[in-house]
Amino acid sequence: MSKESIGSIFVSVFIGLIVWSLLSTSLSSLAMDSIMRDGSIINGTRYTITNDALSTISEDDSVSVIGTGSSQVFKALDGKCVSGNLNNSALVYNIAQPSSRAYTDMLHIPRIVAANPEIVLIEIAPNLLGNTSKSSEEYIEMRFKLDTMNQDNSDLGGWVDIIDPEHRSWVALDEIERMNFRQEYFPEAIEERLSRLILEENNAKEDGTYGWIPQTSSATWVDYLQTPIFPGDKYGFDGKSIAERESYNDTLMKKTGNYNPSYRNSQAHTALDYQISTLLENNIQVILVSPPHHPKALSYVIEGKWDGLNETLNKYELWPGVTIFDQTWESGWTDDHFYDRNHLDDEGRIEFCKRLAPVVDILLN
Amino acid sequence: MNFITPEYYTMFLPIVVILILFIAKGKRNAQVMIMLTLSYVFFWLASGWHILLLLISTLVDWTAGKKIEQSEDNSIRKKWLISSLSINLGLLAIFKYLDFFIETWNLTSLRVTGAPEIETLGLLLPVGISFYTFQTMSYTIDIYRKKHKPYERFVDFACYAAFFPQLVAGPIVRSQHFLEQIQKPVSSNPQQFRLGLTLIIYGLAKKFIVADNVAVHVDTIFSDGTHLQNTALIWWGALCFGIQIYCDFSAYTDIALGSAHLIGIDLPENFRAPYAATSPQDFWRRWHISLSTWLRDYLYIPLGGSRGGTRVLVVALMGTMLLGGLWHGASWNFVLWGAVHGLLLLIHRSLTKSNIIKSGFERAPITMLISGWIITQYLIFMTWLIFRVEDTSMLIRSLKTFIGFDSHWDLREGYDALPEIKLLPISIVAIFILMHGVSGKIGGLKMWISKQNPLMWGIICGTLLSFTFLLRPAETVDFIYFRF
Repeated sequence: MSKESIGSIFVSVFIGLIVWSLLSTSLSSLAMDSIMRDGSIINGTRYTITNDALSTISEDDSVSVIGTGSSQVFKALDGKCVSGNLNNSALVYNIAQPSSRAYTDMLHIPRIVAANPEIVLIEIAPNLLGNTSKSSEEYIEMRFKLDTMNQDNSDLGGWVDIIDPEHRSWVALDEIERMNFRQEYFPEAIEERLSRLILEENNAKEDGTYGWIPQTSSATWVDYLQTPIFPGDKYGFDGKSIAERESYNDTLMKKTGNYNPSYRNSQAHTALDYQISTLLENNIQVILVSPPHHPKALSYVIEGKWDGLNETLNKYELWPGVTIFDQTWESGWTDDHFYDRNHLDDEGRIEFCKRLAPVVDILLN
Repeated sequence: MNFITPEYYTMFLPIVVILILFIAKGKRNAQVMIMLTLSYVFFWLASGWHILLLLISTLVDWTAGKKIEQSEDNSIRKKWLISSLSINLGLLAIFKYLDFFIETWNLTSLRVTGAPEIETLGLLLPVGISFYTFQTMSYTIDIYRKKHKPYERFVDFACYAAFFPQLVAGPIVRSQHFLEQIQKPVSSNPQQFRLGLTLIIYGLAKKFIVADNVAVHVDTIFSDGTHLQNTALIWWGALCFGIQIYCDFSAYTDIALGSAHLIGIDLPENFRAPYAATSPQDFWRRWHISLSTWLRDYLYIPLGGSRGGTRVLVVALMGTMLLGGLWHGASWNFVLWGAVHGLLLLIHRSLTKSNIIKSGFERAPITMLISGWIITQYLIFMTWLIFRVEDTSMLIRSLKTFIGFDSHWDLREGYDALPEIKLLPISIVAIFILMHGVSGKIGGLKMWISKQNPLMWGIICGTLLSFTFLLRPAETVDFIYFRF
């Protein structure tokens, strides 16, 4: 082939690659962005918010406090309540996710650092101190994929080295891998679009209901980041008949006694070490939160069984910049505060807010 | 490695192009040597030790071809031909059909004599064996028939037998067609190179957008048999499978042709809008052309073809179609599929001779053509059920439902029985039907794309690649014809 012909081929291929790259990105964004968050294709809508939430927080000039963790912190932390109970001026955000743990939360540390909060709340609970079990792999895969597909290279950090080699394929570390993960949701997003267009059927969650997420451009977005929509109390203990409640007390309540937190060197400990040390290195104070458990559930915990939790908290307590907010065995938590055996309801959130606010205030002073 | 693994496009194909078009530019022998070496590397990566079978087939036909050419004695020539055919068909029989024969024997003997079962060998089907054995056999037969002389250099012949684009799933290339192109140094001009790229992108789009997406519906419909009495659903399943198998197989052919074009080699076309066929005969002129012409030249005509009266014609046609069916795989489904197609061809032949049909074409040619198209396609899609549904009771149920016997028509129930992603494959099928017709009208969409200027070409191909990337299902499905 002559140089001219080679040139024309190169031009063709170059244009093709540019079109491919631009169109793939814009089409996936156009088809997926709003649908990913409205519950049409992902039931756990909250899992999709973290990157945008942290970007929003980083754009906010006010002093900020970020709460992370699992559903226990998610259902315990009413950010607006805590902000309102502070003597200092600060916005408290709740970005905790159901079933989350240090191993999944660590992926957000670089973006949390970039958001420059004053304080970060990290949950340490007896059920989360350990290694990933086989049964939770599906969840880990979903979280890793959802979280990393919307990241960029600035989100990469020390957590990359902590990822279990077996989980490496669930983490996107470059743009091609991110596009691949986004693509996995594209056919479903198109299906939803077609369904709306042809059948006029919509699978999105209703506005304002549990699971509904406001668009990042909406006025309610920042409110939502502080105080998410919690499930109504009627779905928890308050909605149970006497018989149902008795049955719950006799069966599920006992499960709390099964938790067996590791003392050290577990996957969770490695992730916590990374999270806490990175935040401290960046002059961000850390509050380690151990949420309360229903008193009846605690009665099933054999003495010494949760010493792994105690030892872990004791270890981090010695790290300058770390404050412990351990509500596990604190008195004053009653049945009225609980949605179920380890999640708080409306009354519980108010109590949690009252107890947490002074701790935050001291650190902000 | 195969045509749907990324390494083929990021490593293998670029290496092939650079080595052949640039490093060995103008050096014919070096180019052939490179093609041969890389073809064996490709085959090794695709099928491991089965590479030995390719080598055996190559050595046998190379030797047989030379010996046949060297001898004037017909009995010696015949012995060498029979040796070649025996070894090639023997390999095919052992690796592809032996377990099938054993299973059939076990079934029969159990019913008739109650004799103990013979254990099957569980041999893995060597990739591409049906294709390259037919290819090398045609070489030897042509020399025996004195149609052409054997290759002069072993390397050329080995390259013909193993040429990587067509090695695994065709098209089945005739030896002279290939030899003519490698007699001088191979090179590619910009039009040919762009056509090659276009065919590859077009093939990938057909495979990932169409074939793999509609496959999800096909698999759901025919997986459990719960809704097989719903004619609407069976029609949809048959339509989807017909489109899946066409887009899957023709995608492979497109990528094979495209890969070969990149280095300046032209391989024969395998498809010509088969679902535009207006008769069974027309269908076989458009479907898997390299196989149907092979069967015509090396089986149908030697068996007597249409020149020996009705009885000979029936034997030749049915024999060809039965063996053609069996070529696809070791299963009675394929034999039945071939038999039904044979019957359709025979019925069509007799109908075309009838005065009613002749006068019909004279009086209303368009109506007759449209009627022919509808009837042909109805029957073609019905035969795809035989190809797809392996379980006998499910197949009988599906066929009954397809023709509306002991069945019902319920669109809503059919729609609900489809997998979660319903509308996307439905839309894809609708677009395919439209494009299939348009593509036929404008003389091949891929040819039209390849002739566009660089800007337009880049936009069209970039768009095709985007949709291919975005719409590919999570689970990649192997090419169907890898099984044959």
